[in-house]
Amino acid sequence: MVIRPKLQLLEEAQLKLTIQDAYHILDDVGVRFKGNQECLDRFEGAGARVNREAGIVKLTGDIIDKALKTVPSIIPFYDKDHKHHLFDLGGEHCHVTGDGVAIYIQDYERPGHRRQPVTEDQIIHSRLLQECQYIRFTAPFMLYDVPREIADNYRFLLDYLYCSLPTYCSAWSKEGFDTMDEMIKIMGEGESDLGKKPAHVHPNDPSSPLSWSPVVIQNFMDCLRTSLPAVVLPIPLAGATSPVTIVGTVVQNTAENLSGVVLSQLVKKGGYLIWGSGASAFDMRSGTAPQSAIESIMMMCLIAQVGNYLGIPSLGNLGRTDSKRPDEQGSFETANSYLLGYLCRVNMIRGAGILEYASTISHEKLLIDNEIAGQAQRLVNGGVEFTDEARAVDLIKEMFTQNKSFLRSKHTLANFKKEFMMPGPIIDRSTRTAFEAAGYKSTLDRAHEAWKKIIAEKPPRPVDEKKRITLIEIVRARGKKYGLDQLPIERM
Amino acid sequence: MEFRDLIKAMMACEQDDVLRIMGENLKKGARVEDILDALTEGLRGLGDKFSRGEAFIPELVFGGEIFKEAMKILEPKMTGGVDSHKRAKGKIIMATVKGDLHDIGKNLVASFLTVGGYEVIDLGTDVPNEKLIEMIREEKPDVVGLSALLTTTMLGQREFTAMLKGSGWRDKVKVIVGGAPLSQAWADEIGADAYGADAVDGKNKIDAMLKNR
Repeated sequence: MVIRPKLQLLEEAQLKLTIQDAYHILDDVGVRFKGNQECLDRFEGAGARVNREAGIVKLTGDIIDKALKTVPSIIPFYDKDHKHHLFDLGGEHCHVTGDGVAIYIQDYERPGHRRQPVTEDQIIHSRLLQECQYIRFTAPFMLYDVPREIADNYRFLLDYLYCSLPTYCSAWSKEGFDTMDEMIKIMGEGESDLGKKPAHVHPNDPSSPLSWSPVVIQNFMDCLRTSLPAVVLPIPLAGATSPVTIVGTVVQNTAENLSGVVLSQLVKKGGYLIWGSGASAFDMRSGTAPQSAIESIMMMCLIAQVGNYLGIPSLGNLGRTDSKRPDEQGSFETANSYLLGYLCRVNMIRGAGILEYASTISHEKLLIDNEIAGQAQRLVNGGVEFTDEARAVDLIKEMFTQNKSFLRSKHTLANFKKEFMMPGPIIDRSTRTAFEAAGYKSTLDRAHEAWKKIIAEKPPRPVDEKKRITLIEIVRARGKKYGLDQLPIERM
Repeated sequence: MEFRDLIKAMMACEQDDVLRIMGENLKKGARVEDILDALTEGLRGLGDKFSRGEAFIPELVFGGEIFKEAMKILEPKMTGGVDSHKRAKGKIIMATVKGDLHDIGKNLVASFLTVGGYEVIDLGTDVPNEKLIEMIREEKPDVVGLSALLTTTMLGQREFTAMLKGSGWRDKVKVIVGGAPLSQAWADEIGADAYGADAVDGKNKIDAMLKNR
């Protein structure tokens, strides 16, 4: 038997009351769905009270209950070619995700400085993610060497070419979404029923409090229509766009998510949905949204536990740090949220390799976070094996009475790799002599060396040439509309 | 007539006290202009406390709200001699771009500007560029502040600067942009005059732009 430690932040009765509060809000004041007639038609057709002029939709408990019944509780994820099943999301399964909202990249050579990322940065990051043992989703970021209008599709292309893990990625316009859908079909060419073999996740951010903007509604419905798992990801800022109290923000985020649950199932019954939260404390001194504050972590873990209680795979923006460098603060903040996220069973822990309110990507931080993720997984997925063999009573007696060393026992040989997680070269457990001989290097220095070594020694993943050419042609065709005749990747 | 109590109440964000003291003084025949000066001094004091880390954002925002409430009482009494618009350091139009419903950053900048002595016209969220241009023609502001939180909506800022240029008003108004996915490079690319990295930075940039008018 393996004991997997778990932390439940609210009792069942309190979870039920939280959900009841959200139901009451949706019935009494409703949610604003702005500027999309189709979604209002769908709500009205389902029996919701709709004020078309204001875009307000009021939902009864029956409508919400009905939607909850058809949301899948587990989502199977495949590699980007939709060929191999990699893992499931939901229930007890927790996974760390790369983070792609960055608009800058950390400059290792000039500590604390940042610059705008370009093609080569994305290629390196995607290749590193391919080698990260404990991170399960990639998330490409903003690139500045192509027109802004096509950067969503271009980063999606690069990430496909250099990493086979499923992607967490959004499109920024209807045209971008349709192109992404076309690209996904090319990636999964030859595989049947792509909708049942998802390899990508698309975030959709309602605007707290209780509002959905036209672009987000459109993207969300398109996700459901194209069988792309859709994340409902409100980012309430406690004290600014939601109540300052932790549980008040949990209630509001729950109401926002439930409105997404209903719309999702109206567009596609049984459509994949992920119950997300980017809830954050609002820093009353600087006006920033520190997602690594302990209160932010508490809110996101709580909201995930509400989702899990309702049987929906959950996501929290956990792992992000507010530090400007991949330093001590960066590491302990990420460690706090990964450990708590795993213990609370947040299924998708989104935030690896990112700094400064999710604005700055860092290759070094990615590799450090991979190690932290490994340790959190060891704690929760590995758990404590509680068997006769593990308790080893006979062994202890034998070693003591016969004055033998445990190092020479078959028990040690058979179990040490299972019991101990072996860290990578970033974690220093060497002797003082070895540390000095290596040049007194910090974690950051070791992480920098580690990624350089990976890029120098590990070849990029193989990609089907026909798919590569077709995908490049699709993105280039979009680029031409904005004056770009050749993609930067084609010049490399 | 001294207004130490009024200044103190304003700095402490005590709305009831501010309105009570103001009412008492008006009854006693105090000049509207002097009351306004005291409120402005209190607000400035609150801003100084914030700068020293002794006051926090909710107090600053609430201070701005108290000031607005007080102005509702004072403005109808302003006949001849007192013009709140002329007293302001400048007129700023604030808005979030079309398709974007996020407003916390914009609201913060608006509060900081109000506390800082500017007249702020807040058009809210999801504002079409046509509406903005119309308001610029009507209000003739010194600065337009345009916010966008999403990568999906930030392109609306570029459309705005292009439209402003076409309208013939580009040289008459400064443009500052802000929002999480933005950068100075984006502001340069779209031809904005400034980029506000955060609310305090936004207010400081506006101060700097209007300093040598």
